[in-house]
Amino acid sequence: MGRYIAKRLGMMLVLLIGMTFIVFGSLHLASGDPAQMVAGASATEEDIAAVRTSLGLDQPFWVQYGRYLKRLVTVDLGMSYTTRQPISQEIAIRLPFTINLACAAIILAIVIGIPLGVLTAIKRDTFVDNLLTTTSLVGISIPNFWLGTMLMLVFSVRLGWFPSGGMTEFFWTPLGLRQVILPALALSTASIASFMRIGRSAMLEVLQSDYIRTARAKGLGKASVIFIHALKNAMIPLLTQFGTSFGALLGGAIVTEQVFVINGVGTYLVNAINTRNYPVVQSTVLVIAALFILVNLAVDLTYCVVDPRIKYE
Amino acid sequence: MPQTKVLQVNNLVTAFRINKQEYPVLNGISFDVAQNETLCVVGESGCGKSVMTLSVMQLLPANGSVKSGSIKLDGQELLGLRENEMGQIRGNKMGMIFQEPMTCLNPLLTIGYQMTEGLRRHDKGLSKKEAEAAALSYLNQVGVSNPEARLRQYPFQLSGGLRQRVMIAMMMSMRPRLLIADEPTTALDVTIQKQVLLLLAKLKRTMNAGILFITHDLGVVAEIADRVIVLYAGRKVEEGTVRQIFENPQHPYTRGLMAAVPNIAEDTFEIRPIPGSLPNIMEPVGGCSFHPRCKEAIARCKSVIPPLIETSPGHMAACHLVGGQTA
Ligand SMILES: Nc1ncnc2c1ncn2[C@@H]1O[C@H](COP(=O)(O)OP(=O)(O)OP(=O)(O)O)[C@@H](O)[C@H]1O
Ligand SMILES: [Mg+2]
Repeated sequence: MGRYIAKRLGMMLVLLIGMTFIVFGSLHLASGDPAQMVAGASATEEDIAAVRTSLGLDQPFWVQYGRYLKRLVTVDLGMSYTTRQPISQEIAIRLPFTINLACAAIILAIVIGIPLGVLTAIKRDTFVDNLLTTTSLVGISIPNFWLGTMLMLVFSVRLGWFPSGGMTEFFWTPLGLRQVILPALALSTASIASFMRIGRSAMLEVLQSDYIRTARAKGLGKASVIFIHALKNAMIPLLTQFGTSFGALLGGAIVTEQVFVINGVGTYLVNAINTRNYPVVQSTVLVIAALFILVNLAVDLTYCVVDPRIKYE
Repeated sequence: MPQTKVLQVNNLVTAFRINKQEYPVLNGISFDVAQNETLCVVGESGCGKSVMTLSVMQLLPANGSVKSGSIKLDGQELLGLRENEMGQIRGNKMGMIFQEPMTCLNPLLTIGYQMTEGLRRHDKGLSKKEAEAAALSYLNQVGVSNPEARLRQYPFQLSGGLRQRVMIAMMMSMRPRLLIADEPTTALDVTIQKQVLLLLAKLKRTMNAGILFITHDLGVVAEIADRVIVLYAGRKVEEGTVRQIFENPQHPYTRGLMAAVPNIAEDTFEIRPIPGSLPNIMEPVGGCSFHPRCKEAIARCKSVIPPLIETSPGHMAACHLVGGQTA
């Protein structure tokens, strides 16, 4: 197991460094002059040149990248061009709300998606199965900004059950729960559907396996067969889905935050893109990517717990 | 010697649904297994041996079902029982060992858990400790070394032979009246195969159970069977004691099976498989289903299904050519 973990950690580091290169490099190539953005519309050529020198933008690519990496090691993400505040601080304020939203959404996806997957597998080819499987197609294809807007119109504006945007508390407080429920629902539909589909196919495959027949040959009841013997094995593909879904949720959160006026890193990123605030874009993308990589590392480590074949490797 | 029948199967018909059509796989099979008796079922691949065992256990795949007949275990009719009633009988009164030891144990649960859950299911008063003690004693009996450590291991840490022993110990520990073994040794190498067979014979005697043993290896039959039934295309074509079957096979198919085995005693290593192949269940053959492959077939074989005829006490064959019925 130690070797397995070491390998995963090593891979994560390589991925992170690769990420910094891609993020830094692609923004470097993007059009638009950040020096001009910082200096403002009324700045003269000299002003812009001065800003460029002071920000190090006149240096060659590798020098800029090297400086960037060096600062990253000390968790210095640089200054925002627009606010002149340290980016790490600005992200630290916003990131918890994004994580709050993503966690609420993934919890919804798990508690709704997996039971539905198990149900459709057990009820294979019945009306219930067909209905839910078809509905899941809708869930996957529905755009979450549209669904978010609709949910807000109906449940916040018309019925007044939930606040119509904003997020000030986390989902475990009563207010936080009311704030997060609509955006999390809008965000998680695709993931609910994926969990359900993966859960269904994994369960179907597992239920046909020889060890399920053995379990039944011992006379075990339906509940033990499904929840102890089958579900545990079906968890492995579901865990993989967890990692994938989490990435999709982080991406979706950027849009959802806009719809529900949530001041998370998604909103921060979109604003930064609109103002060509390069360091903020770089740092936000990097943080989101790191988060995704970390979650997948956690998933990999969870395999160890679920699957003894890895634990004893 | 009149013995208590553990299993009595009568006129069993099992069919599979393929593309909305029912195709019979077992066409009215009857046999029984007594206490302390091993009944071997032989026949080519695809003749319905596994379907027969799964019918008895009522563990057929979703598209298969028993259409008619009767299956009695210790006199109790099993057909028509509800799933939860069968759950009380499986494991408890009849256990089953499967062909593939590598895939028959759950990869994510310890041997100890898998061995004790059945015990505790059928004996609700059994504590975890007691169940583990029982599991240990059976692991010892089947010759698993270091059983305490094994209980904490996972299937992937065990070899195929060990896993099959675990399966046997697991099923025997529930002390079933009937043990069904579907080619339990096919996946094992020869020496281990021998050990497993000896073990089954020993357990049968000590527990006074009946064994329904499926194989297509006649060497194995000679070793462990008391009686034998020969299956062809879902029908019983011959039945008798091992002696009767080996020394005086009546049905041309049985004789063909015998000839297909290399005879070491006579130094003839040449294998003569029966030419042709089993009819597909979707295209059944009229008359005796073996007639297209039978060198001795006569006109009647093509149109009339031969009945089982007792040629000597306890020895039956379904062929128009036996019992002085020559046309
Ligand atoms: N799930 C199924 N659906 C349709 N047909 C099936 C199914 N399972 C088995 N059959 C058919 O039933 C017949 C008997 O199969 P069975 O598995 O009992 O053969 P067998 O005698 O056990 O062969 P082997 O020695 O290879 O194990 C075969 O023709 C097979 O194709
Ligand atoms: Mg078989």
